[in-house]
Amino acid sequence: MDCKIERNGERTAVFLAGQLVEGDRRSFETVIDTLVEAGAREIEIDLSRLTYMDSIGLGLLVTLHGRARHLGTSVVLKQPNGNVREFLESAAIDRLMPIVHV
Amino acid sequence: MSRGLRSGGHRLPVAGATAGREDFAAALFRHLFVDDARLDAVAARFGVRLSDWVLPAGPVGGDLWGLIDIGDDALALYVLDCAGSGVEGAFNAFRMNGLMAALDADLRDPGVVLTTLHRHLRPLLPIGQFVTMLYGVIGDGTFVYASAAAPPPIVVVAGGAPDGGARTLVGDGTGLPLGVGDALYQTRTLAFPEAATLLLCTDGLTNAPRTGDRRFGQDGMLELATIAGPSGTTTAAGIIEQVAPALVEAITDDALLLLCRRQGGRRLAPRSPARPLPPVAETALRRTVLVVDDEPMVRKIIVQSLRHLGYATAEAGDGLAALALLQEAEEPFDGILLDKAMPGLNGLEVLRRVRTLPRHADTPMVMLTGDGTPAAREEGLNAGAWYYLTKPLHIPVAAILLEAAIADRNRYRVLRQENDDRALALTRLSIAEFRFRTVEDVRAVASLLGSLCPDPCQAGGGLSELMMNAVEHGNLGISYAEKTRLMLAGGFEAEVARRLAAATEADRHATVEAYRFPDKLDFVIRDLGSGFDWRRYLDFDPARLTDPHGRGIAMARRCAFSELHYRGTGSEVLARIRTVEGDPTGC
Repeated sequence: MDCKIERNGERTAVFLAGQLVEGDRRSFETVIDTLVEAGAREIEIDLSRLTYMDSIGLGLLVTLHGRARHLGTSVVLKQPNGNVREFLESAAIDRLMPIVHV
Repeated sequence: MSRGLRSGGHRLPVAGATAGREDFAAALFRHLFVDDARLDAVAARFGVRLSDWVLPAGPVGGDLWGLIDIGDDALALYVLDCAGSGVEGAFNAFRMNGLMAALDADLRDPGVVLTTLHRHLRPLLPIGQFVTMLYGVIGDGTFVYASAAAPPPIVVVAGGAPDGGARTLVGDGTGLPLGVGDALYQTRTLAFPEAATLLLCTDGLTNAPRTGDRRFGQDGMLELATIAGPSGTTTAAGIIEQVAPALVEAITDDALLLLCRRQGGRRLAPRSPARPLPPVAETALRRTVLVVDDEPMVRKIIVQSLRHLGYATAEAGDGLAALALLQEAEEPFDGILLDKAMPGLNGLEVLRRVRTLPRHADTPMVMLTGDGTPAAREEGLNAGAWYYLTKPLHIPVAAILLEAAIADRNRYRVLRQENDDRALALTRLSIAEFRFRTVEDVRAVASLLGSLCPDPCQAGGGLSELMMNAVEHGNLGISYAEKTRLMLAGGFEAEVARRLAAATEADRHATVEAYRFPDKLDFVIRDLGSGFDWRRYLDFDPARLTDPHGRGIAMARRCAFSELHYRGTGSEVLARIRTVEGDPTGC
C-alpha cells in the first residue's frame, strides 16, 4: 500500500495506491491514528489507484469509519475501480459511508 | 603554394607576416610547421616526400605536425590535435612543440614517447583539456607508431590488390588522449614499403560527416587514400582540392592532413621498440556501450577512454540518433552513458523512450550531467537512470558503475528467468499439498497457488481469506466475538502469535490441496478445528456491517471462486475455479 495524506483546512484527503491487504494492517492503523489525531472534520479516501483490497483491508476502512464517527468526523470513499469497487458494492459498504464515483 | 594555412577564411602564404595582431599571431603559428627547405632535405636524406595541408579554424589553431631527427636510419614524425580553439588551442600547440623538442625518452619507441608525453602533460594541462596525437617512426618497410585517440593512420600500398591496383591498410587509432586518465600506449606496426603512401590526419577531417558528405569521416579518409595511391596525387593540398574543395569551407574545427610518399632507393631501419608495454585492461571485453553526448570533445574523450578500458563503443550526438542506433543495432547494447542536457530530446526524454524499446527496457543507463543538485539527481533516478554522474567525468568510476549496473541487470535477468521457469513448472502441476501454520505461511502459499489461476490476484486473495480462517479460527480456536473484541481493543496479532507459540507444529497445521483438471482448479483446505456455522458467512451480512472483520468468506465466494463448498462442520472447504478447457494456464 502506498499512502499520501493531504490536509486542506478541516478536510483531509488520503490517497491510497496498490493493494490494501492483511500485510498493510499496521501501517494503515498508523494512518488511522494520524487522521484521528489531526482532528479533521472530513476525511476523503481516494481509492482510484487502489488495485486490490481483501477483507482485512475492508475491515481497516470500517475501523477508520468507526473511530472517525466517534469523533464526529465523516469519511467518504472516492472513485473505487474494478475489483475494489465490486467488493465494496458486494459488501454494501455504501450503507455505512458514502462512495463517490466521479 | 601547396600548403593550405588559412586565416579568417582566407588562405595565406606560409612565409611573411603583415601588420595587425592576427597576422602576427598567424605568422608565429606558421613558424611551428616544417618549412619547405626542410621537407626537401628530408626527401633527399630519407627518401620520404612529406606534404601537408593545414587549416586552422582561425588565424591560429591547435593542430600541429612535426619531425624529429633520430638518426639516418629512421624518421620520426607526429601529428597532434590540442583541445581548445583559437589562441587556447594554439597555446597548447606551442606547448607541445616545446615539449617535443626537449623530450627525454626513447624516441624510437612510440609507445614510450606517448606515455612520457602524457606524464609531462597531465599536470600541465588545465582540467578538461587534452591532446590527441599520433607519433610514429618510418623505418625499413614499416611505420611503427602509437596513437593517443588520433584518427587511424592509412597506408596505400602499390600492387597489393589482385588486379594490381592499390591496397589500403588502416591502422589502429585507439588509446586515451594525452593528459586524460592513467594512460598507457601500445606500439603498433603498419607495413610501409617502397612507393607506398602514408596518410595521417587530425579529426577536423574525420569529424566532418555532420556536413552530410561521406567524403569525410573514416570512409572519406579511405577515399583520400585511394586518390593518394601509387599513381595518384602527390600532395596533401592537391588531394583535398581534388576531393572536396567546397567542403573545406564547411569545416569548423582545425584540420590537418599529412601525406608521406615513400620513394625508392633509400632504406631505413628503425630498431625494435626497447621494451613491450603492458596490454590494456581486458576486463570489459565484449561489452558494448553507447555514448550519447552532443558535445563532440566530451564524447570523444569518453569513447576513447572506454575503448582503452576494453569496451566496444558506439556514439550518438543527440537523442534521436541514439534512439535510431538502439533500434537498428543488431545486438542490444550492454549499457548507455547518456548526457542529460542535450538540444532536442534531452537525456531524460531519451531515457524514457529507451525504456519503451523491448530490447533495451532493462539496459543500464548512467546519466551524465553538470547539474549535481539533489533535485536533479532525484529527477534522473526517478526517470529510470541506474546512476547519476556529474561532470567532469572520471571514466574509471563511470566504468565501475557501468559494470555494477550490468551485473545488476544480469542478476535480475537470471531471477526473472527462474521465475518464468517456476511459472512454467507450475502450469504442469496436477496435484499438490501444502501444510501451513502461520500467517506468513498463508501469504506465501496463497500467492503461489494463486499464480496457477486465471486471475492470480483475486484467486490468491480468496485462498488467503480461507486459509487465514483455517489458522485463526480453525487451528487456533479464536472465535468471531474474540476476534472482534481483540481488533477493536488492539492486540489481535499478539494473541495470534501467543497461540501459535503455545501450539506445537505437529498438532497445529492446516493443509491445502490443489488439483488441476482440464476445466477447473480445485483447492481443498482443511484445518484441525471443531468447525463453525459457515452458512452465516457465505454472504455479506448487513447486521455485521460495522464489524472490522467477517467478510473474508463472502468476499472469496463472490470475487475469487466459481464455487465454494463447506463440508461437514466447516473444517474443510472446497474452492473451485472453472477454467477454459485446454488452456494450461487455466485461463
